[in-house]
Amino acid sequence: MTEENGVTLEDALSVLNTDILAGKGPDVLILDGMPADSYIEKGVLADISDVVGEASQKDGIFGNIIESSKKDGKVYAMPARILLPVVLGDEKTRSAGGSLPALADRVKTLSKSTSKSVIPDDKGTKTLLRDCYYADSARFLAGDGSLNQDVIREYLTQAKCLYDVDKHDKKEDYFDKIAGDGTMDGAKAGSCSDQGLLTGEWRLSFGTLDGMYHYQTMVSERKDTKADICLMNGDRVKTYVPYLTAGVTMGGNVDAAKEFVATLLGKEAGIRDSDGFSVNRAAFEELCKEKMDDPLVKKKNGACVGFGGPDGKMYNITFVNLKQADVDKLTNMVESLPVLLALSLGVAVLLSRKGKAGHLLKSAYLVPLAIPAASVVLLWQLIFDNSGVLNGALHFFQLEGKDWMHTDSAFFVLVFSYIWKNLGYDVILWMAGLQDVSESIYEAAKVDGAGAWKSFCYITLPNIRPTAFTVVILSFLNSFKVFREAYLVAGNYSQENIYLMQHLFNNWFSQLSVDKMAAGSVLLCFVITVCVLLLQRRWEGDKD
Amino acid sequence: MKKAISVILLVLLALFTIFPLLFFLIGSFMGNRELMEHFAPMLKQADGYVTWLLLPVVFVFLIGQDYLEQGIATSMLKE
Repeated sequence: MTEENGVTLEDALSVLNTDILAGKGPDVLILDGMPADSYIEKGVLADISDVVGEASQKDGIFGNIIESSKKDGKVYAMPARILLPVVLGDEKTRSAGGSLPALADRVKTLSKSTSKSVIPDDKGTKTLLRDCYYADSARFLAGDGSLNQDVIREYLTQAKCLYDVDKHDKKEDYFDKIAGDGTMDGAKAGSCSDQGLLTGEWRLSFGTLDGMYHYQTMVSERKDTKADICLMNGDRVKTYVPYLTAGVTMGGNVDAAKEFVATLLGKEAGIRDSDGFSVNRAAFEELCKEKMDDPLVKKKNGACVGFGGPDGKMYNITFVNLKQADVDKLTNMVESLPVLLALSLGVAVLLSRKGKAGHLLKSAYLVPLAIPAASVVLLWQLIFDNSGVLNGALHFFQLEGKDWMHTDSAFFVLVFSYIWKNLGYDVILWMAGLQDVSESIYEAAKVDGAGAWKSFCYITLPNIRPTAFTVVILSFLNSFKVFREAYLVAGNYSQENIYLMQHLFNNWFSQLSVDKMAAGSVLLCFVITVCVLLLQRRWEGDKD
Repeated sequence: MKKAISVILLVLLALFTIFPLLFFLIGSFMGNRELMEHFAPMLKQADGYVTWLLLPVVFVFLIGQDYLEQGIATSMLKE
């Protein structure tokens, strides 16, 4: 690069913007770090909902990522990959990692018990601010689209607390100075460093998790570090970092560009164990399977990485295969979507506007509560058995059936049964809450030009917060009561995903293992109480 | 249009919720033999898949009784 042909990033962007607005820009735009919202407002980007919909039908795209990419119900820009902001540390650190203030408190406590660094040395100012920004920025915008100053002030305060905890003569913005905005050799590198926990250099880490390999490394180190991950700030807002966000410009060859985006979102392009997690569910699951049964890892000392620590010693990471629980945890973090709550609230809102017909339908939704579990499981068996109605229907459409009850799908059968049973109950609770919202607020909003969706987001949701607490608690408690269904549908030793609760309440009961049952019940009661108290604290914290 | 779609969705969801009740209702009008025929693939590991009728045989007989009697009479006349 010489003085004549060198340009700054700003210059390059402004030339690109001019070209795009003149209809001479590229057909496909990778929008990472670019003003995507402004392009959408100016009508530069084409609607790619059809491409996303097709990819979703073919392989399955994570639904929550599609929803969060929507603007006015349409998708104009869609990330092909995502990174997850996570906290890595011991159990106490993980329970604090759910919110930035609690994490800052935890860091302060740890700093009192050590003379070494608490957080990694690569967390210089920029990296630290960016990691906290990734985890918290979804709260920055207030309901009316303006910046929420209190939230931003709190974000900066907590980031400062994290910054102040260690001496900064050693800290260096590795990811900004060397990797440059976390992008190295065209690859996106996660900023959650893990090796310092193994060498004892620091006590916890946080930042972005950049893929399956990164996750497997952390799981492999768990034996020595006793550290695991949780979503950073995940109790307050569940966020992800979009990467390879693709959009199609209006002026160019839209069809060819859409085809390119479809390939980018496809399974084949998605199978990479670094550079973020693919939003393509089939690719994600394929990689999970690979990491659960890697022949190289199975060999003795088959996959081992050694490195020198600051104390001159050699440290080894012996790679292990992921277990089902590790995969479930990761999948839950990517897709933490409370189906029952969302579905029942949607039904309640629609029903509340239907008058007498609504009352009739409401009664229909309550029917499952009147049907004994023992009789309805016969129906689930008839549907989900190997020779059942569902496999029969799939066979009719020339599709391959599967053993629903004795594979991973057993969990979804149980979820289906739980939703079917509790939908009406939750609908009634939501409707009670909806009746408390004054009609005059909606009318005033309507006069001000608010549509149905805006009224729902900015009037209905804030006003039903107290009801939401009750519904969440009751749904949570009910989810522990599906052991009868698991036992009756799949027997004593059902698939491992639905095994635990029914083993506790059915198998131990039939064996009269009163001691084990008592201990299990006390532990379960303790877990539920802690969860409820945490939820209550979180709820009240938000109210303040 | 939006209203119609929301009503259709609600009705479909309501039908889905009460369909086990319909299943039990229909099942209660079936005899053991008829139930066994439908469930044999699951209960006796027979070939094929579980099937289900929305109208039990007894109703088919009651509804079609007149036609059946006429048919028998006609065939007797032919003989």
